[in-house]
Amino acid sequence: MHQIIEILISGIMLGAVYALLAFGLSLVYGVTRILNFAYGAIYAVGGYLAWVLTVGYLELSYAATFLILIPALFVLGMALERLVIRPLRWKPGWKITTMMVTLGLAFFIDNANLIGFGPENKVLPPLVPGKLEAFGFVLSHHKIVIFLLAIVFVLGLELFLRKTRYGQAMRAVAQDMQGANMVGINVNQIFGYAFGLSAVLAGLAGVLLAPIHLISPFVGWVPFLKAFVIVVLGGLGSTRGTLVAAFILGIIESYTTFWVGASWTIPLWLITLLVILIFRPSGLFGGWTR
Amino acid sequence: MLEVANLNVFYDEFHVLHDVSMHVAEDEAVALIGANGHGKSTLMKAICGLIPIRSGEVTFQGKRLNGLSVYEIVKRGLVYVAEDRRLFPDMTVRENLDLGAYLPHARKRKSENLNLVFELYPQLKERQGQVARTLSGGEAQMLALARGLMSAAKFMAIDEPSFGLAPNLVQNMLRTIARINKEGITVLLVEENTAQLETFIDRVYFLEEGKTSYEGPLQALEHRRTEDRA
Repeated sequence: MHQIIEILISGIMLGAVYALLAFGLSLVYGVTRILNFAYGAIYAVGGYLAWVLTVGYLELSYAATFLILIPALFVLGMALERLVIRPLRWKPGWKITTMMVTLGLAFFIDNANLIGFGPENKVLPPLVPGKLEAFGFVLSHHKIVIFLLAIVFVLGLELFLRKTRYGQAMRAVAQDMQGANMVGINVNQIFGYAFGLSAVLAGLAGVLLAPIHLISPFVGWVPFLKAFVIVVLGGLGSTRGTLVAAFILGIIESYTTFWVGASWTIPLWLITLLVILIFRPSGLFGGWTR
Repeated sequence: MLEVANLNVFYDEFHVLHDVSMHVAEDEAVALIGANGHGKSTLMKAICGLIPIRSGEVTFQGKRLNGLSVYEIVKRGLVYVAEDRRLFPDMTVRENLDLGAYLPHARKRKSENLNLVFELYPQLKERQGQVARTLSGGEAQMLALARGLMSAAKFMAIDEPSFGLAPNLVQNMLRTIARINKEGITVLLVEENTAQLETFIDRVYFLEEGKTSYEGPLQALEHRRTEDRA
């Protein structure tokens, strides 16, 4: 019984990080209507950058690492939008061409990581070493810290989208691009910020999960697929849905890993997705019509 | 204030506007009238930057607007209110109004404009927390106009505000636009239904097959059309 509860808690903690991961993907899709296939590659870049800043070369603390990493990822996302996406936007067939270009970019980044860092796994130390033991439960400090950080980032994102000028502008662009233009919002600028913010979320998730899942050149594909499953399961465009789906799938992953084996996670996620889509075709809380 | 000279607009290869010239002076209320499909809305959208201009020139307060995008034109004080409203459906009435005042110069005058909006439309004040997609057609049109007002523009281009409204609501809408005009905002209006325009419109342009075939007071146009029919 103890163990079952322990696994449940561990799943909930994982779910918070997955929520972060999924919000980054759905943010870009919601605002720009582009499915960013390079999302997983950015996750990997986040992991590698953190490795370089900490144990790899510079031996910085995690606090300093985050201070450098967050703006760096934001600039990376903005640059990606500016250099790769914007030249194609509004040209005929741009929804397909931008998707293809991000797919190509994902392979480019992955292989650049392979050349630069080699094929072997990089290991990041836990954010906080040690473990907590109370009432007979054992939980690593790292899991507690990433859970809390993920919650803080998700709440911060929600607050940003609801209360700030640029956050409101992002929601406006997602809901009616022409309407946004008509009130004076520079839509291109908002696209850039959405890509920047999304890269921050992907990269942060990469760092938070790196001590558990390790970092290797193609490590981003599974998180990308997972983010995609979460967004679809929750219902495209629904914040609540994404949160609920992330926790459900985090818990499923936790039990699967314990009872069957980690490699069964994705098959079980996809089965869950299929079953739920049979009964709720637009996801748990989906009301998306476009 | 607004000058349009020899404007030509195409939809793909289809020539919609032929050498249209017009102007609106400061504080004027001008209407573009004519039957459906003769280019009224197209002219307005071309002025406001929503569709590209093939040739000709649009100047606003002495500066060229050609080639600027919609948001840059709003920055210069010319706001467009769309006939299809273009509200933010999943945001509340209040959030829609807040976004109307997105630009810095509009933000400075936000509370003042919000008071004006709530005075014109007490319903919107009551429904501040309601999500825009749940508004009735009349309320949505009010909100569209109100959101335009929030941008503190000197010039409002209003595209068919009576579109899809019941007759009593149309009257109310036009009365509000007259009031806005009195507040010192120059108005350019697209309207099909000319019956209630006399009271406040200074001049009209009559568009036929993408050309302006009449310019002047509305009464004289009505008179000419009656004679034509006789």
